[in-house]
This record gives sequence, structure tokens and C-alpha cells, in this order.
Amino acid sequence: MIILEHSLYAEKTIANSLGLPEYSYWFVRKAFAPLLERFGAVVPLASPVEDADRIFRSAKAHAQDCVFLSFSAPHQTPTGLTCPTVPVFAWEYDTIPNEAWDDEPQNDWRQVLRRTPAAITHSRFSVHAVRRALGSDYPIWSIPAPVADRQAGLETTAVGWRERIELDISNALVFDSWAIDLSLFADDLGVRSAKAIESLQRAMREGGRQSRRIELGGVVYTSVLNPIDGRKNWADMATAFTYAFREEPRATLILKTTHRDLHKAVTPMLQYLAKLGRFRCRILVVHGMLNDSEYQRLIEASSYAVNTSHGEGQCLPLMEFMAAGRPAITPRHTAMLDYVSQDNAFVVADHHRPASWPHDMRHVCRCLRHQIEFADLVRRYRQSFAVARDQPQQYAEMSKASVEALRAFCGDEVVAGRLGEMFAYVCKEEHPRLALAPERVGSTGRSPNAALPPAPSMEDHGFLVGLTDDMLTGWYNRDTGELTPGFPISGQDIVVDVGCGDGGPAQFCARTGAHVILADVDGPRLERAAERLREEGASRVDAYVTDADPLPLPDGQATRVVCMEVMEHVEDPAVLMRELVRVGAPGALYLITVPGHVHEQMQKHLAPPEYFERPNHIRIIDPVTFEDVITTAGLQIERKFTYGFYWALWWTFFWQCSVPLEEANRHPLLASWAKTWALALEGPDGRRIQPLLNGLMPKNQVIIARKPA
Amino acid sequence: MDRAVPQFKGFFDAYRGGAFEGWVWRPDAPEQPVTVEVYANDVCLGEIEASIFRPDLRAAGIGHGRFGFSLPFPIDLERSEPIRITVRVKNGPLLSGGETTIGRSEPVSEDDAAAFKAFVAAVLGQNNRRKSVAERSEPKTNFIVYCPTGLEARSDFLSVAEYDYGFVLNAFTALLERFGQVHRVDDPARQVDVLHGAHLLRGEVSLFLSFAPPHRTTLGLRCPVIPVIAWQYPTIPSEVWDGERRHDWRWVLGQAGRAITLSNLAARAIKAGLGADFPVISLPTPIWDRQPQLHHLPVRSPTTPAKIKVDGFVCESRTVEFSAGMAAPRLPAPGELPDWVDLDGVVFTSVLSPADGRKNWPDLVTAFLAAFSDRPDATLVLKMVGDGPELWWSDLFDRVGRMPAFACRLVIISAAMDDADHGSLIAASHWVVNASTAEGLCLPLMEFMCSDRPAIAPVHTAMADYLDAACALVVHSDEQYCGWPHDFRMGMPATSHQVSWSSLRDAYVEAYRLVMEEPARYQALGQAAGARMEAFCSDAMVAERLSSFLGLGHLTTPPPQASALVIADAFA
Repeated sequence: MIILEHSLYAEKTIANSLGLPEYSYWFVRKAFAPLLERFGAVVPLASPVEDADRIFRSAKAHAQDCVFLSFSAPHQTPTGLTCPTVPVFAWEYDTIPNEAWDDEPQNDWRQVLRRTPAAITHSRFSVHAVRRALGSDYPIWSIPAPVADRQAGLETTAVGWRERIELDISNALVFDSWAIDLSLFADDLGVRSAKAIESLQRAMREGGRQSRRIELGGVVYTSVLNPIDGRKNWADMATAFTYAFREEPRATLILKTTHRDLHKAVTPMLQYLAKLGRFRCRILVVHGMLNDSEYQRLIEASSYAVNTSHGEGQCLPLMEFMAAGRPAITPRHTAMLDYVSQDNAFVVADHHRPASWPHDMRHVCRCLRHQIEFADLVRRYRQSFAVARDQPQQYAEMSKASVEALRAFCGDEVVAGRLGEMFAYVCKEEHPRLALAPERVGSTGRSPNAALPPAPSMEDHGFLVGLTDDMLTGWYNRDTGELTPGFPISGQDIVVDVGCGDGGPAQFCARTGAHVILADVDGPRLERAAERLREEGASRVDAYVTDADPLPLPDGQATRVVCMEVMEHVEDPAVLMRELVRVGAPGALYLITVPGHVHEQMQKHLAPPEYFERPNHIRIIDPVTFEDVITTAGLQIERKFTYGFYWALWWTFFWQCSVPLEEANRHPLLASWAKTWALALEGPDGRRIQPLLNGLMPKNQVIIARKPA
Repeated sequence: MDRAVPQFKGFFDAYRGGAFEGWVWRPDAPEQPVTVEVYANDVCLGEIEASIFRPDLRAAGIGHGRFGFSLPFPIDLERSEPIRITVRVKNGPLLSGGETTIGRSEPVSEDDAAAFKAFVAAVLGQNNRRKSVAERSEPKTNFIVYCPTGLEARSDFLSVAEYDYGFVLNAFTALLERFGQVHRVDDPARQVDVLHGAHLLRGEVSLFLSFAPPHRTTLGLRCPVIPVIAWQYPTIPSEVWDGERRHDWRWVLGQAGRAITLSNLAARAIKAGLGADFPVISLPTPIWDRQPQLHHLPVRSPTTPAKIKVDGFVCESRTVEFSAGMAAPRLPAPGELPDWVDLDGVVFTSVLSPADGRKNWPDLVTAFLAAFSDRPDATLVLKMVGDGPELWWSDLFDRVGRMPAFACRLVIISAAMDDADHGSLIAASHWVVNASTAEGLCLPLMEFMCSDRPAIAPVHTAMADYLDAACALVVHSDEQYCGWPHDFRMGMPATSHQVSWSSLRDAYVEAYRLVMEEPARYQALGQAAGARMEAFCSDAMVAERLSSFLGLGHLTTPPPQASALVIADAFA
């Protein structure tokens, strides 16, 4: 199966986009990536509207399922595609937008969701919101990001009270209330004189330290959030903290902020903190992108995770911290209902208030949000501090309960089960390659025998990535009917495929309804290929076992002649060419390919010697010779190109792996190469890199030529 | 020195602060107080016994030092044309320095000259009756009362949060008239001591009750001042800024010496700032006995309509289409406004000043609209007081327009209503609603409850003095920290109370249900509200506490042995 995926921001752009609306979709996508790879080849798309359908049709031509996961809110999800499109979105309100404001029908999510075969969200709360609008049988799954298992191992470090722990931050600015004079940030009645602005900027420069080693002690409360998202409600979080711990120096609150604009994000926070008066507890604002190991270290240094939001569609940081055994101080609403309880959290009371959908610029009140009770938050802070300091046993129990709750909520096998159900539903069949045990396919997707599904055997990721790569090069273009650009096939054609092998190109031709004639030296393989072709809808399939010397075909019959990766095998290329030209009708198009010579030269040093002995490649054909052979045979060259860098390296690594060909794509090196190539293709530069590398060291050289009329 | 003639020693110090001051004694007979007379242009202004304790005399060895005198004089003589003043021992010699001239040398205004002439005429025209000691009755108490009004009431930051002390003052005036005479002034700095002086000359006590926040209290008066304060926070402002000492209420209250508050919360706040033994008492505003005709108003059945007369702005959802994104329709011209409003169904009423953010009217309105989006027989009447409606109309239109479509009815009134019309509004209502984040006082709530109308309200700040689940549907609220309304630069020392919107919405729903489905229980709640008000703020209740706090019936300062000259209130 091919899984196409897209989000507005991607690896390249995320660092510059932190804090913008929709940025969090990238983190969700990243969290899902490892599990998705169990189901098929994951191919990121830069422009879904342009690419998804092409790839979908090509995939179908190869009997592959293809699903497009759009990590985006429904109003930003393309709906006109043939490729089944599944929006993956987070939502934290009790109603979904059901009005088409600004004359934009997509703003009414019901319109969008009725046109998608299914949807994925991340909590039962969101599922209910969608089903209230679309019916209780609407196919939407709550599939939380599988962050739990990744935190396994950190739970042993969870402890409430520490005398001392060090935290190294290298790529972020740290503002420490113990080290800076907050009064410098005091916003004096909103004075905006040049002097005031200048002194504020200086305070920011001097206040934020990079490459810090921070010494922490006592009880550490951490929250990871986007400060300009008002729904996160950091003001209550910080104010209540200073009230709870005004005289307590052993309480620390770390606000880890993510946003691309330092001044927009952090300056208002410091100005606000300056208004809170004097407090002996400690507040740290850490601003920037931490790498994975520093983020893990932050989790390790924390005693508790804190959340005070108006609602969550999915709070990844909260889930990660709790999965690592850090109990939470949090309200229990929206997404948190699925995993927060009195056993693993100090639950903060909340009530409802009217609210508007966040992207609805009319600001009309159509839903409810949650408002935490301030005085209760102060109580929970104090309660949690006492537990951390004085009751390690209770802390340990809460920590264990956190880990268990998160594992039950979003452990890998739970998430995989739900993904499997969803894919099976969307592809309208039980996914054959996953071989799920029957009891696993249930509404919970959980089973007491939590064995991982076996990795797909027939869909090798490498194969699929290579296939996708080919498609992106332009092969197998169902829209134009071109097997490759410049080589169109239609139902009127008579196609002769000499050296057809498993019949990949032939299959494409068969799908158009053309009359396909197969020729190959390998009898059994030929039979299988022919069988497949008949199923594919070819108007007629003939198969001949032959070494092409001569071809058992009449003169001038074929309108298309395909001969791929044959010339390097035959004794005499000229003889082969003569036969190819003979069977072709006047004006017939020829598609001939040979291996890339640079790569062949390299393989001489890597491949076993039999690679270059009969019946394998017995010569290396350089581009000049290749052209010569074609033109000498009397054909007119119409197009020449090279492709297949992906496969070139694939084979290079293959020799290194020394595994059988059937198992090759599961080898870590080749799997990694497939993933690397998939990532490289993402984004506009991918489209430039691919042809450049294809020219540098291709796997194949291609010539399209015509027999003169 | 002739031994047979009494010897007097003393000085006339000065005419200052509106009083003639000095001291005199008989060294040979220190236990016999001396009486002093003051003449202005040979007209006797009055006489007084010199028996005020002066520490400087004592320190100078002048006996026990109780030889000072201070004869207040109600007209500011400094502003008059020059007068020759003579101060002498009664039937005795001139005091040292006892001959002087005071007054301005420049021409005085006609008003001042006329006032003095009128005074002199009054003095000369009076029969100087000297009452004997036996004839003198129990000294009467005078209450001089004041509250800021109009523009004056809105001239600083705190004013946004100021209460309409006028209603409070009126309620207390009626009560105070049981104890003495009430004089209302509008310029305390100029008028209080004039009256105080006049009362003193008659042998009467005066108390100045200032119905205003401490920083607006007139200090430096001779008359004892008692601030009467409404305040909604558990701590009082205690910092000086802009060099203005008045912003530290502790200083002001310390100067005044005692205070009356309108809620227990405010009394506790003052004690927190000035010590547990600072003389402060919390008194409910005595509105129970003010309108006895509104007690136990019978409940209107939801199906019986009522007509309420209004003279001013009225707007309602049956005739105005509220929708988001549209500009508010222009305010109707006076000629286009109806004179009457018909009320039917279950009626919820709230009286509030929309300029006061603590009233939290958006929550009050949106929770109503959410609770009754499908009920055409639920009505919310918002009676807006204060400035407007041009000040709040478009904001209200915008907020209501943002809510989903609703079938219930919203009626907004911004008009003067006389007591009778206001009474008919109370009679037509079923519930009084409050959603404030903090109250120093909420008179509308109390008024409605006096008429057996139960409340929907949170129980915090001032409302905690009289509200609970026995007479109200309690809306959940929790403490929230905030800054002072008048000082952005402070930390956040104040608390307000965030009202739970969902609890308010649920209370509306329950309130409606009680009226429609459990009328007996609804009526019981109403009657409990009335009984609660009677127990809380009837005159009998308040008067007793007030008199014991003020020591009424006892003299607060020893009366001077002043002459019983009766001076007509030519300038009252």
C-alpha cells in the first residue's frame, strides 16, 4: 500500500513556522511516521492536489492500494481527489463548524467530511463532536499519536523531589526569574516611548542566555506550549504558581515555549510576570526548538506536567510527559478525558464558557470552551508539591498510573490496531498483507495478545518507493496514457515487449486495452506475466518463449516496441536491433533501455563476478554506443534520458547487505535508503534533486526512437 | 497689684481656623474657670469658658493646663471687611493681645459683606435669651451627610468602580432622622465646619458622615468625620503613589479615627489594614423600611401579562434583529420610543451599570440566551443605570449578535423610573439576577428580595452577608486574582470572583423550571428572601447597631460652657 501524506508545514519549513496556526500538525505527522511504515510505503507529498491522483492511479495500475492522509483541518483538506483522502485533525470543541461563512462551502465541515471516506482525530471527545453532526455511524477513528512506547524507559527516572539535577540547554534562550530583574520588563501603563522599547529590547538581549547549564532542585513543574495561542492560558498557570509558592524557593515552573518569533512570544510573558510582584519560587521561560535528546532530558528533569488550557484536541507534550511517568496538574476535559484521572493527576476544576471556532473570524459563539478555576489550581499546586516532597510512595503510584494510562491510550499496538481498521475500511477490504488476527479487528483495536502485526511481505517499501520514484519521473502516467513521457499507448496499439520479465511495463500497456505480445527467454515467468495481463484487461495477449534471434513475429506488425534491459544481455546487439526494427510497423515507436554505464562500472567493484557473466550483463553500454546502435539500425531518436538514481544506490547497497533479493528491502540499510529517498523527494527541491541525480548516476538509459514511415 | 481684685493671666492667641483661641487663668484661683467674651465691632459674638486642656500651658507650669478656650465662629471673618476684635474676660479686663483687627483690607465681595451684615443683624435682632442650665435639654445630635454626585463622582480611576452612594445616603438619612437632624451638604470643605460651629454654639453635637471612598473623604475638619464605605476587595489600598497620601486608605481612615462599611468584607479589609481593634462596623443599608408598600408583593403568574411604564430608551429582541458582523442599528429618537413595555412569561430582571465591568453583564446575558434559546416565554429585563445608551449599545448589540439564534426575549431599558414604576417592574419580575465578580453592595438585589423575589447570584463579597441557598439559586464562583481597578502598576493584590458561566446558565434553567413546575417551592424561596431582608436591614436592626457604634445618646465631646446665644441659621 502506498500512504501519501501531507501537512502544511514540513521538516524544512517547521522551524520557521513554529507557532503559526496548523504548525502542530507537523509534530503529529512526525509522531505517526514509524507506525505508518508498517502499513505501506509512506510518501510525503509537497503538492497533494497535483500529485496525489497521479500516484493513486499509477498505484492502482500496479494493484496497489493508495490512501492519502491529509494532516490538516477539514476546511484545508482537498476533497476533489480520486485518491481516497482521509483528514487527520485535532479538535477541541463540542461542536464542529457547520456554517459556510465567507461563502466558503469548506467551512462547513459536514460538507467536507461527507465527501471523505473516513476521518481520523485524536480523542473520543472529538469523535463525539463529529458524530453529533454527521450521525453516530460516521466512520471516524480516534487514533492518538503513538508517543507512549517511545517514552518507555524514562519512567524509572520519575521522582517528585530532587535535591539537584542539571539540565543542559544549547539551542534555546533561557529567561530565569532568579537571574534576571523582572522589573525591567514592567510595562509602565503601556508606555511605548522609544526609550521604553529600547530598554525592553536590551532587557531581552541580556535576559536570555544561550548554552546554559541550569541547576534545578526541589519540585519541577513543566509545560510545553505556544504562548500566543490564547487557548493555552499560560497566564493562569503562572499567576496561580506564584500565588501557591510565593514563599517557596524549591518550586520551579518551566515554560517551554515554541514559536518562531521571540518577541511576539516571550516579551509579553516577561511583561506579565513582572506584574506578579515578588515571588521566591522560580519561573524559567525556555524558548526555542530542543533537539530530541534535550527534550528527553527536560522530561527527565521534571516532576510534573502542567496544563491549564481551554481545550485540547491532542496535547502531545502532556501525553509524552505522562507516558514518561510524570503525573499531571491538569483539568479533565476534551482530549484529557481519555487518559487523565484522579489516579495519575491532580485534577483542576473547570467550567464552561461560550467560545467561537478558532479559525472563524466572525467570532460568533457556536461552541463551548473550558475555564479552569483559579483557586482550585492554586490548591492543586500546593497539594502536588506536598506529595512530591513528603509522600514519595503516592508519587510513585501516580507515576505508574500515568504510564499505564498512556500506554493503554496510545501504545504502539493500540494505535496500529486502529490504523489497520481504518485502512481496511478505506481500502474496502481486509488488508491482506497485514494478516491481522481476527480478535484484533474490533472497535477498541486492542487485544490481550498484543503481538505486533507481521511486516508486509509483498509490499516492500523499497519497491514502493522506487515505484513512486518512477511515477514521479513520469513513468506510468495514466492521465496521458504514456508509459513514459513521449511513449503513449492506447487501445489501438499492438505492443511487443521483448524481454518482458515480470511484465511491469506490459501491464501498463494492457490496462489501456492494447494488444500485447510478450517475448522472453524465461518460460514460467512468461506464463505468469501473460496470465496477469489477461486479468488486466488487455484486448489480446500473446506470449512467446524466445531468445529474440529471431523473433517469431511477422514483419511490420507492432506499433509499439518495448525492449528494456535486454541489450546488455544479448550476444550481438545489432542482431537484436535488426529483429526489433523488422517487427515494427512504419512509424512505430520504440522504447529501449540499457543500464547506466557509470553505475555498471561501479558495480564491477561491488557485485559478484557472475553479475557480469552469462546470462547476466555481458557488456557495459556507454551512451555513445547506445545511440549508435539505435541509429545504425535505422531508427530516428526522438528522446533520450536517464533515470533511476534511487535504484542505482539501491543496488549498490544491496551488494553490501548480502541478503537474498526477496528479503532485501527489509534490511535496515535498504529500508533506511528508501526512507531517505522518500524524504528527499519531499518539497520543491526534491523535484530538482531527482533529475539531477538521475543524470549523475542513473540506473537506466532510455531512448525513444521511431521507425521511419 | 490690688489683692482684692481677681488676677487674670492669659492671652488671646489668634483667630484661626474659624475660631477665636487663647487661654486665661486666675493664678490665685486656678480651680475657678474663667469666662471670656469676644466682640466684633463692639457686638458681642459670644462667650466661652476657658477650660480646654493645653499641654503647652501645663509644660510652662501654668497649673493643670486646662485653661484654653476656642470659640468657633461660623463665618470666615478673614474674608470680611476689617473688623475690630476685642477679647476680654467677662466682666473683666482685656486679655493680652485682646485688641486686634482682622479681615481683609481689599474690598470684599458683596456676598461676604452682605452675609456679615445679615449675621450682625441677626445677632442684634435676637432676643438674647440665656437659658439656665436646668433648661438645657439633652444635647441634640446633628448628622451632616454628603456623597459625591455627578461629574465629581467620576473624576478619577477609582470612580469607575464607585457606587451610587446617593441611594445609600437616602436610605441612611431616613434612618438617621430618628436620632437627630440631618443636614445634607454638597461642598463639605466649605460647609461642614460652618454647620458644626453653629451646632456647637447651641450646645449640640455634630457628626459628619461622608458617604464616599476614603480617598475622597474631606479631612482636616473640626467636625468629627466618619467615612461610610462600600468596598469589594479583601484588602484596602495601602500604597502611596503620585505623591498622594490619600491613596493609602490606612492614613485616611487613621485620620478619621473610625469608619462604617456597607459589608462585612469591607470591615474585615479595614481591620486587616489597621488592626483588629480599629473601630469599624459593617451596617446593612436600611432599605427594608423605606418602601413598605413593596413588601410581600404577590407573584405574577407567567401567563398574566404586565405593563410597565418607561420614560426613556427601550429596546427588545422582538423588534430588533441581533446579528453578528452588522453595525448596531441607530438609537431611536425619543419620539420613536414606546411608553410602555409588556412583560409576560417568566421574567428575570437585573439592574446594573454597564460601565462597571465587575457587573459582568456579558455573562449574564449570554448565559440567559444559551439557557433559553428555544423558550419564547423566558424574558430577561436589563435595566441599565448610569450613562448611556450610546456608550454601551453597540457593544451589547455585538455580543448578543454573536450568540446563536434565540427564541427567548431580551428587553433593555435605560430610563428614569419613578418609585411606582420601579415597583411595578419588581412586581412583574420573578427573579432578580446578578453575575458580578465583586460587589461592595448590591442594592437592586436587596430591593427585589424585599419584595419576595428570590435571587440568582453568586455568594461572595458583599452578597455573602445576606445570600445563601435558602433564598437564592446560588451560582458557582471561584476566587481570581486581579489588579486594583485604579492602579495598573501594582502586582495583583486584589481578588475578584470568576463566575461559572455554565453554573449561571444552569441556574437560569432551574429558576424557570421552579416557576413553571414547582410554584410552591418558588414562592417559599421568595418569602425566605423577604424574611431575610427584614432580619438583615430593617431600621430596628440597623439603628441599634448604629447607635451603639456612634455612642448616640451620649455626648462625644464635652460641650463647652458656651453661652446660650441663639444664632439664627441665617446661612443654613
